Amino acid sequence: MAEHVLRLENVTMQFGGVVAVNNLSMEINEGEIVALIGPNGAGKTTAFNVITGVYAPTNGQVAFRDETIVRNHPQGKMKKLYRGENAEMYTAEYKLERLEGESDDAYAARQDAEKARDPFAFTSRVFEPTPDKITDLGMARTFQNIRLWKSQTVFDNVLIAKHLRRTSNLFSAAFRGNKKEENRQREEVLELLKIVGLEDVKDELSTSLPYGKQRRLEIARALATNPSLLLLDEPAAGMNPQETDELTAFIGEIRDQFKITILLIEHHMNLVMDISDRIYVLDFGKLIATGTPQEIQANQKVIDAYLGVEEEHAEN
Amino acid sequence: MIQQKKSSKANLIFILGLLVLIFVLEQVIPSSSMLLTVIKKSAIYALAAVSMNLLNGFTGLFSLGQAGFMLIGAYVYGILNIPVADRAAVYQYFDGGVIQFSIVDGLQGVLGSAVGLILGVLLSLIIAGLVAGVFAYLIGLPVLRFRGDYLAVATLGFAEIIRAFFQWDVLGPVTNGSNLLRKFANLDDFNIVSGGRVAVHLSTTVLVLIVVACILVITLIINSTYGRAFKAIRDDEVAAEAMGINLARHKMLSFVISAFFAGVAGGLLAMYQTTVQAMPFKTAMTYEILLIVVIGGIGSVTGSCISAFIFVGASEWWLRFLDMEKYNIGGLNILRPGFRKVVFSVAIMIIVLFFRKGIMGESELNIAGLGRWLKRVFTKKKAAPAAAEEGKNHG
Repeated sequence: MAEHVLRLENVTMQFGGVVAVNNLSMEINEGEIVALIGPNGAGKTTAFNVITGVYAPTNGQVAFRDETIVRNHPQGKMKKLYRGENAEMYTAEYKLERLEGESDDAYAARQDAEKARDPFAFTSRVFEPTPDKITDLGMARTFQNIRLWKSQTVFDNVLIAKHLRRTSNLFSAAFRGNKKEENRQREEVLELLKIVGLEDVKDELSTSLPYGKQRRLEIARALATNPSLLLLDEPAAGMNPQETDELTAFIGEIRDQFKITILLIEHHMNLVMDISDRIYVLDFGKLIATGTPQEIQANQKVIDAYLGVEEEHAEN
Repeated sequence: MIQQKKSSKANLIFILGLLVLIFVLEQVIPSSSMLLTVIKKSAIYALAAVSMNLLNGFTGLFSLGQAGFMLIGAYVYGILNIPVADRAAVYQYFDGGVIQFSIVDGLQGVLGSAVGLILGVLLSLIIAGLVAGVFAYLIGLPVLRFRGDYLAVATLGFAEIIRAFFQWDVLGPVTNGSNLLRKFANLDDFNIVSGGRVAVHLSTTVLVLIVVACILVITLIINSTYGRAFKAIRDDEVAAEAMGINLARHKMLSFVISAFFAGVAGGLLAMYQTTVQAMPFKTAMTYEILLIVVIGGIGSVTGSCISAFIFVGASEWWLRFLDMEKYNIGGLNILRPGFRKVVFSVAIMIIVLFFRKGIMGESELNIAGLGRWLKRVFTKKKAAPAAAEEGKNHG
């Protein structure tokens, strides 16, 4: 099985009675730019939050580089409320039903295949890491509504993200036993700011930057954690066409320069169609289409989801 | 970078100068002078305020447990340092107590009186801080899950509980119940005595030296990568966590460090007061420290130090005349005991209303910066008439 950078399997996120993400499965390969699109409220950001550990999913699992990082099954009162699919798949109660006339060997082989898919199959193991642990594994994200550290300079915003990769402890850091590391980090930050074109404003307060540059800074900050997968939540939100074009080029550049994989949520279709290798389309929490930009553009279901369907058409 | 180094050098020289000044002052003016009292008390309050600022100002955790941690520090220092010979007298209601050793005395017996005193006091202050830190860790486990006001209420409750706890009769053999702890090594023991007279006064200098060292350590932590992480948590918790900062661990770290230095401040307060009792460590004490933090600027170490001096000076000394009935204003005797507090409250209200960011805001006082600022002010004064002239011409 080819190694996927990220693999979501049957992920369901239910808030009370609302199923925000319903049985979502997707795969992202090394070096790809994958877009997750869908109308407002389709559950894109919720899916992002599940991947990055902000929410523990109600059901399903997420694997990063074939290692299970998030795994859950309906628990507590969700057991009764759960309206998604595969309710038992991630519990110890999960059993493969014997097919008619199946030999023991074939049955065992199917069970092994199940274990290859999910190393913790047939157990109720739960993994709910906090976001910082997921970032530590090599996944970094940006936010839909910019979340920079407001009282910090541009330089410090990026430098703080380097805190994750420190080797110093409190004492060596306080009494400057980590001078080498600190200097190296500062050089790396400067280098990074040069690449993203923010070197000239490095001493300004992060909030004093124009909107487009704040977006860039957020991406630079995420890159400072040395990720191998970058998750961008609507990077072009609120940008004019020219800024969007610049951002499109910028995302392509960082993919090539840092050799990373990118998953992005976006509403600007120009950007999505320009840079994505593959697209997943969500509607009401469910995956309705997946494919290359050309395929998605021609997909009737996607067009219906975005433009709505006439009553009679829907009935047919 | 070079400029930064230069300015921190200037700051160090300034602090050294301050220490020398205090040392000289102490020799020159009588030891009962109000100025020395204010310096001592404000130094202790400065440390407590800076430790609170680390938590409230730099990590954004609104905690009101400072008096509780100071109480723990003060008690630990007191309990560990009452000479064995005096234990029977101090613990008269509890058969001399259960602890039968004294760190300072023990070390003095082995290392000689001077070295034993210094090491003993430092050791017991560190132990006082560590015990406060352990308490903070245990309380932090449940309490740090709260945010904002809820955390403040929970820590406030802890401080009150701990005060009642230390006065509990059952703990009497250790804490002496609600009675005074006394006779432990205090600041006056640092004075060098020869021939029955004090030859060199050191009590204030030693205290300020310890406080300066502690604040220096806190500043180093704030400026390290950990301090930057604390500030990131303050600015945006969600973003901090997404960038790989472990919230639970860093909040706990900040909470424990803050409690450690509050404990040290408590130990110093015990030394300064020469007695310890749980009663004065009330919520009001936390509020005093909070007030110092707010007046100095939430998120400014130097602001806390300056405002500690102003606050203690005003409440202990400069506004004292308001309590005296000897002044007559317009035939009316409005000055009477308690009037000081009225004026003080009004002053605080004015500060909170009109200087919301405190004296320093979030910036720090630094000597090089002060020099540049003075220069600017002076050049502006010269430039101002010229500008006015120009304005006239244009008009």
